[in-house]
Amino acid sequence: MSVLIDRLSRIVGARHCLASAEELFVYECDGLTLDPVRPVAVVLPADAAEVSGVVRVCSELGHPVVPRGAGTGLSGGAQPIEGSVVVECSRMDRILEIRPEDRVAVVQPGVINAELSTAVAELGLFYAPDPSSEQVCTIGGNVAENSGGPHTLKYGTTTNHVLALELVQSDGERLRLGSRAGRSREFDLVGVVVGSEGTLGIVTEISVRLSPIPEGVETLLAIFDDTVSACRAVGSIIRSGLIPAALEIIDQRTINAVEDSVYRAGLPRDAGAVLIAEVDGAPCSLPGEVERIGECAREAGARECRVARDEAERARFWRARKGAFGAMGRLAPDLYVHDAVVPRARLPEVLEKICEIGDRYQLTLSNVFHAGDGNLHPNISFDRRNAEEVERVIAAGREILETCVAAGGVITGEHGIGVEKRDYMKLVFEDEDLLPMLYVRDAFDPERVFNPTKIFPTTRFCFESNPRARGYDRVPFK
Amino acid sequence: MSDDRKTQPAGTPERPDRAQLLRQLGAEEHAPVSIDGALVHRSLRPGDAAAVAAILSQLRGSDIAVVVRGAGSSPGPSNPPKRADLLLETTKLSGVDDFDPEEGVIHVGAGTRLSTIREAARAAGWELPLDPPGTSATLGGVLARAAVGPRELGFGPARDCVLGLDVVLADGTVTRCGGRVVKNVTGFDLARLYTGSCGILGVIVGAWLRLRPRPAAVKALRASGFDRPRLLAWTAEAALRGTARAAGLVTSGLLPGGSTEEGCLAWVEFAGEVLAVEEDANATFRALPGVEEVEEAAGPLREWQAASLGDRALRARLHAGTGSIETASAALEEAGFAQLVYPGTGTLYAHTRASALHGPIKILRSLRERLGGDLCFEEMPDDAKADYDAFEVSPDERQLWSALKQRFDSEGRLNPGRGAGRL
Repeated sequence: MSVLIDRLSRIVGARHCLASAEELFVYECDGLTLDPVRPVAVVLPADAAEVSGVVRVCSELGHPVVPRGAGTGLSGGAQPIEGSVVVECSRMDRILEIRPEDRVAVVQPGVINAELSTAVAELGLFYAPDPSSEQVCTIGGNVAENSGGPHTLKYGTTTNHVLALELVQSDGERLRLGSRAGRSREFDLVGVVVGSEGTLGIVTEISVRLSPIPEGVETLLAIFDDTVSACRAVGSIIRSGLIPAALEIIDQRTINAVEDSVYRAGLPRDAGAVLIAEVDGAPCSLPGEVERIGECAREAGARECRVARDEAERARFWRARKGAFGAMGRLAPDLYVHDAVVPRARLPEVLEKICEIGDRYQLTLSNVFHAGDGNLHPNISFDRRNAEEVERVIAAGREILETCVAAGGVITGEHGIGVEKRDYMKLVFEDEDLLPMLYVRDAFDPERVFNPTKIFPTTRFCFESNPRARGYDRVPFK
Repeated sequence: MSDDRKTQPAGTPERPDRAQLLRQLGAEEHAPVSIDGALVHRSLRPGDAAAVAAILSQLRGSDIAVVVRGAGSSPGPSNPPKRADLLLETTKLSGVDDFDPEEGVIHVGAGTRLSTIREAARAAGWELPLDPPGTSATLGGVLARAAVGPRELGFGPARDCVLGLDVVLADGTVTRCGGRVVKNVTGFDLARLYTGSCGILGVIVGAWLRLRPRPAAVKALRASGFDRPRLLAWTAEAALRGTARAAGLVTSGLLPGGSTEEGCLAWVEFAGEVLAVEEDANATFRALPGVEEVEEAAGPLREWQAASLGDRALRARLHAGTGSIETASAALEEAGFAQLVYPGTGTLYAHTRASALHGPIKILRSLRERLGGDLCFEEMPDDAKADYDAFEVSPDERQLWSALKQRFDSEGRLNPGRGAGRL
């Protein structure tokens, strides 16, 4: 092991090569805390050349490489693997170029999501993907997970905003994909790298599209007696032909957690749920859009609709929404944030079933989610020191995912598969459907250097062990 | 792919076993059909995904090259096939299989015409966010080429409306990727990889698409009689407006007879909420004298997008980025290219006619290098296609596409030579 550490230290400097138990402790997991694994080393490279060098050494010595941004991922994408070296990109945090005339920024992967928007705000621009962890998560991590956020409904996820990438491959070579002028219409490779959860290489430079800050924005808070009615309002808004910037629902348990926390926003504690609806664009059309949303909400049973009077009130609504996960720390020591998507019209029935599952397993389950996208986040508060409770958490989680898939949905909308859901992939895909994904991984990373145990079901090693042997496509994954 | 057997030219006499296999599949000989200059004598029109799978599965281990085609109407770039033994036409894979009007998502067969999907969507208050040139285009053909039209400005690239795909791989394996929901990161985003890969990785047989709400209002404007810089500035300004859905400029060199009487022509289209559209259209109307309101902007622009200068014409597509559009357009004008320019997406279609293409292509490549953009050739004389790859991808990307092709189609039977780098 000392050979590995010596060689890595020579590349990134001893200070940026962590190998002691106490240093490695904090890298044992990301936001998925259920099954921590200690890596053999963590390196913090300063630039792409150092990343190349690190990857070369790891490839040569047979150590898997686990890319990591800020470690805020919730599916274990940055969770170490036995014998792995974690490559954390937090030192690569420079905005390399801003081209307002092209509405493009070129950034290193360690740039914090929200800091890019702050940096370009004076130019009248912003970076649209806004995950709840935007204050700490990195754009490199967002690329790995194809992160979304509340405003995905109108602006899309990370993939809609990435124009070009530099990717370090397993032999240390640096490839450039896409162009700063925009992605190729034909033969685009950027799209498959975004969301590949660090399994195809390490992204060391990203050209992103910036969006103009909307001229106007209006935010409405609709208050409901129950979550199902709020979901019905969302379906009605979507059918009305409006494309709001965001439609977010917070249920009662979450409201109370938020109101007990530093994120308190004056949300009514007795409400069954609140819907935050935001529209943006030309100021002349916003009042009409808000009115139509209000009508949909009232028809679905909203007892009150409040339009944010000023930016401060709007910020308060959003602080409640984005701080919800933090606030849930008040409910229990641990939080399992689930992530699944269903057709929006199926939200009411699916949500009822999810609540029933939570009750049946006697778990503290709350919901705060991107209703406009049908992207549910059932959150289970628990204590991981209670092994029996952990078992119930996992069993309930599986039932929740099965319920969503049965409704025509999928098992993740923005958190990724990682290690958390790799064995649930077969809820969505047949064996044959996974083959092309393996072809892609094999084309990019034939030696399986990057994040090798992520995404794909663990019960498939028999055919992965000999990827060149054609005919393995007929071997069942079981 | 290095096997010589796989690079024999189209039209090689059939060996008896090959002819027998093709006959077994029901592919009788017919008058030759030209696919980018390669003649194909046999074709099949399977009626469903299982039939496509059965055909490709039976061809495993053979050296029969399959060329896949929808309506064959796309004006986009393409390399001629290296070999073409069997034409697989997807036109019978047609029909709307599933439509959720509450959700605005639709599942259709690859052979379905866009016009059919549009009608189904429109009847339920939605619109299909794809508007490539051509009236008979099928969904499969459009997605294989990631073809878009002038409304790309408002709709986004073709990939953005694809939620999931049904794809039959070269060995006949039927696969599915993505899904029917509007947000999904379950595994690799293969739909984005297949879309625009010109059928070299698999045959798209069906797709889940995301529709958009029909806009409450649409307004179209036309301007003419000004020189290129002034009209381009007007068009670019319009394209920045929040409701802009299409904005394009045609330079005089592309007009019939190279007419300069009207100067250049430009169209813009706004779509969205009534008041916002009014505001944007009024501001754009006032920004230039002589602007007229017209019925449609996207239609004329689509026609110009597919325009050809005729014999020995070269039509290149250059993505220069929005900030470099004037620089690129001016450089093309100086070099004598006629143009269609979409400033909002940073795209230019550069037209010229030349007996030898070396000079114009050198200029285009130099411009691409200078601006850091993306270049491909949508139209060129058949005799030049051997010398110039239609897709000017970088060596890095070519290397990865080659690795992908090896894994998806190790026998090199699916659309051989049609891809970037002639894969």
